[in-house]
Amino acid sequence: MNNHPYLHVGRATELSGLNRAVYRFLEILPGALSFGTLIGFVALSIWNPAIAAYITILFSSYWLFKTIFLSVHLRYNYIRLRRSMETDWLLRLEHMKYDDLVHFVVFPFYNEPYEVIAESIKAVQASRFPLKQIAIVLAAEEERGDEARLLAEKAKAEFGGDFLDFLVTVHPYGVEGEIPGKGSNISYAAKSAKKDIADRLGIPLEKVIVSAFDIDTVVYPDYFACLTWHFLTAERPLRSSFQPIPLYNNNIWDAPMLSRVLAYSSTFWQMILQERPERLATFSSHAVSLATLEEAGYWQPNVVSEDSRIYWNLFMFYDGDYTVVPITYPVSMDANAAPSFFGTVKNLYKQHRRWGYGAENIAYIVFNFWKNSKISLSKKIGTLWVQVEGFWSLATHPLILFAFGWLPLFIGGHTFNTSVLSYNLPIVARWFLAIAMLGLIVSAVFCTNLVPRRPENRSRSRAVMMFAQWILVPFTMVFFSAIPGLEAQARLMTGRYLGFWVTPKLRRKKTPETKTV
Amino acid sequence: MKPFSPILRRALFLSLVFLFLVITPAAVFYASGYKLSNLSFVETGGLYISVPISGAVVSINGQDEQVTHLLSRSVYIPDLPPGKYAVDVTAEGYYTWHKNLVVEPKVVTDAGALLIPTDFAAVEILVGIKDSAVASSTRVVSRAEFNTLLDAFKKKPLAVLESEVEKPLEVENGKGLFVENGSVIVRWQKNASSTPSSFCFIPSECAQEIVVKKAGKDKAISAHFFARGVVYATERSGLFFAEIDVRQPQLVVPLYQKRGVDFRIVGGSIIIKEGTRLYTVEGL
Repeated sequence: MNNHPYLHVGRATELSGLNRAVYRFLEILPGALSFGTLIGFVALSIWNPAIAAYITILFSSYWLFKTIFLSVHLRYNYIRLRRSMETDWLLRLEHMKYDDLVHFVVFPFYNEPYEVIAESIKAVQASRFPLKQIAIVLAAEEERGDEARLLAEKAKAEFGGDFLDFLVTVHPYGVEGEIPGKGSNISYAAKSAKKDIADRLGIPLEKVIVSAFDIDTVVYPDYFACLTWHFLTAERPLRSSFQPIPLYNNNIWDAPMLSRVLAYSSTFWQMILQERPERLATFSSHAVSLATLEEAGYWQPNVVSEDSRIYWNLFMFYDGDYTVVPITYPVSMDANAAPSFFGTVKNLYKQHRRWGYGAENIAYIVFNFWKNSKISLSKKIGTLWVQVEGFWSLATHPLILFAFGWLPLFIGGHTFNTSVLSYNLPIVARWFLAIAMLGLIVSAVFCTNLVPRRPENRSRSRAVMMFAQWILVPFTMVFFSAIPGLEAQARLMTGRYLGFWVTPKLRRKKTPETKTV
Repeated sequence: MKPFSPILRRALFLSLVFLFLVITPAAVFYASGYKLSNLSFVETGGLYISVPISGAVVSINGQDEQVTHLLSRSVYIPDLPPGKYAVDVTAEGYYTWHKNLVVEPKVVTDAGALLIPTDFAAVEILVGIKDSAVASSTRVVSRAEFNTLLDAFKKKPLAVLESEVEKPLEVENGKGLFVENGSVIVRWQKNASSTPSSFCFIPSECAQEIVVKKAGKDKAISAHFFARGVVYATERSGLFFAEIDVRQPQLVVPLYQKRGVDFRIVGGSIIIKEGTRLYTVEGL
C-alpha cells in the first residue's frame, strides 16, 4: 500500500497543500457539471429558446434509443437470470476441486431486530453448499452496547454449530478517521475473521471468498455454489470482485408501491450492468477474495459508499488490472419501507441520496489517476467517461426530460411562442417519450416474474398493482433519482459531507421462495 | 448461458446510433416546420384556433378539420403551406365565426374564436318579488337591486376627456380602450414585441391599434370591454358587441337597436337604460 499513499483517501480534508486543493476541486466537479447543465438550460431557454427546444428534442430521441439499448440488455440478462436460477450449481461443481475453498459471510448490523438477523443466517443455513465450508461473521457495533452483542451471541448459540465457524465481532466506537457505518464495521470484521478464523485454522487467504452482505441479505440456495463456480472459472479470481443481482423480495408484498418501483428499478439497472461488465462496479452485497482484501487494505472506513469504493480501491491498487465478474445469480434484500407512507418516502429519499453520493468516487478516481502513471490513458478516459456520464445523467436527464426541457414554452418569449417549433416541441418530444415509456411495460412483465408468489393474505388487487405501479417511473426518476442525486452532489460541492445512514429494516417475512419457471 | 456477446452488443449499439442519427434530424426538421413535398423540403406554418366550447367544428377552406372536446378546446393544424385560409368555427346555438387568416413559414397564426349565442336577448328588469310568476322576457329584482343598477347610471359614461386623449378608458390584458372622435379604438399598451396576434394582419405585420368602430355618421359615445370583445353605444343605432381583431371579417353583433340608449357593465352584466326602463342582455 505504500506505493499507493492515496488509496484510502476519503475526502479533501484528509489531504494538505496542493493535493487538498486538487481533491477539493474534483469534489466540486460533479455538482458543477450537473447544476451548470440545468442552469445553462434555463439560460438558454431565455436567451435562445429555439436551441433549447432542439436540445429537448435531441434528449428525448437519445432517451428513446438509450432505453431500447438498455432494454435489450435487460431482456438478455433476465433470460440468463432465470436459467441461472434453474441451474444446479452444485452439479456444475461436481468435477471441480472446491473442498479447500471457504466462504466468509460478513453480516454487519446496527439496531436491526433479531428476526432480521436470524432470517439471513437461516438462509445461509439452507444453502446447498457444504456448511462446513462457510463461516459466519456477525459484526456488531460497540455503539449499540451490550444489546447488540447479546443479539449476536444469541445467533451464535442458535446457529453456530452448523458452520465452519461463527465469529462475533464488536466494532469499536469512535475510532479516529472513521465514519461510523458499514464500511468501517465490515472492514474491522473481515480483519478479525482473517486473524481469528483463517490464520487460526491455517486457511490460505487465496482460498477464502468474503461475501460482504447487509444484515437483510438473504441468499438463495445455490448462491455459494454459483459464486464458487465463478471464482474457480474466473480468468483471474484474485483480480476480480463478484457481483450478484440484488432483488428486493424479502418484503416486496408488504412494501408500498413507491418502494417496489424504486427497488425493481435498482434491480433492473444492476441486471443491465451484468451484461455491460466493463461498466460494472461493486454494489451493495458483493464478494471478493480475502487475499485481495488483505493486500489492498479492506474497505475504507472513511467513506459512505464503501461498496463501490472497494472496487475503485482495488482498481487503483492493481493499476487498472481489476475487474468485476457478474455472477447473474440473485440475493434478496429488503425493499425500503417504514411504518408510515411519509416515513417510507423519507427513507427512500435518503437511501437514493446515499446512492447518489457515489459521485464522491469521481474525485477519488481522477485524483488517483493523476497520481498513477501506470494505468493507460485510454483506460483512464474510458473509465472516467462512464463514471462522470453516469452521475451527470442520473442527476440531470430526468429533470431535462420531464421539467426543464419544457421551459422554452414558458419563458421563451412571445416570438418563440408563435413559432411552429414551440407548438411542435411537445408533440415531437412526446412521441419519443411515449415510445420509451412502452419499455415500462416490459419492465412490468419482468417484475411480475421476479417477485415471489403472492401470499394468501395479500389481495389480487395488490398483484394487479405490481403491474400498474410502473406508471410512477417518470415521477420516481425526478424525485428519487435526480433530486437526491443533485443534493448529494451539492453536498460534495459545498463540503457538507454526508455521513452513513442506516436503512431501517421493517418486515415480517421469511426466506424468499425460489421462483421456478 | 453466456453473457451478451460483445460483437452483438457493438452491432446493436452501432445500429441504434445510426437510427438516432437518421431519425433525430428528421424530427428536428419536422418540428421546425419543414415538410417533405415532391422530394424537396417546404417550410410550413400552422394555425391555432382556441375555441371556448367543446363540440364546435373547426373548418379550413370549407373542409372540416377537427371537433373540439372537453379535454382539448383548442385546435392546432400543422403542416400548412404558406397562404390564406378561410377558417370557420361552427357550433349549434351559436353564430358561425369566420376569419381569413394568413399562414407564414415557420410561424403559427393563432386566433380566438368568438362564439356568440344565437338566442341572446335583452330582457326588461322589473322590481318585484323574486321567483314570482312573470314572463320569461323580464327579470325581476328587488327594489334595492334596481336602485343599485340605477345608481350606476348616475356616473357619466366612460368617455375620453379632450385633455386626456392618451389615457385609455379601460385597460385589460395589455389592451387599452379608447373612444376618440366617435371611433372606438383598442391599442396595445405593452411592448411591441409582445403584440398579440389579433393585432396582426399577417404574422409579420402588426399594428398597434385596432379600430373596432370607425366614426362615420353614427358616432360612438361610450364603450366597455366585455367577454373578450367590446360593447359600445352609438348616437343613433344603439348598442353593439364587436370582436377585437384586426383580421377580417370582424364580427359585430347588434345588441339593442334603439336610439339614445345608455349602458353600463354592472356585476359582469350589460345593463341598458332606455328612458326610465332598464334592460339586461341575457345569454351572451
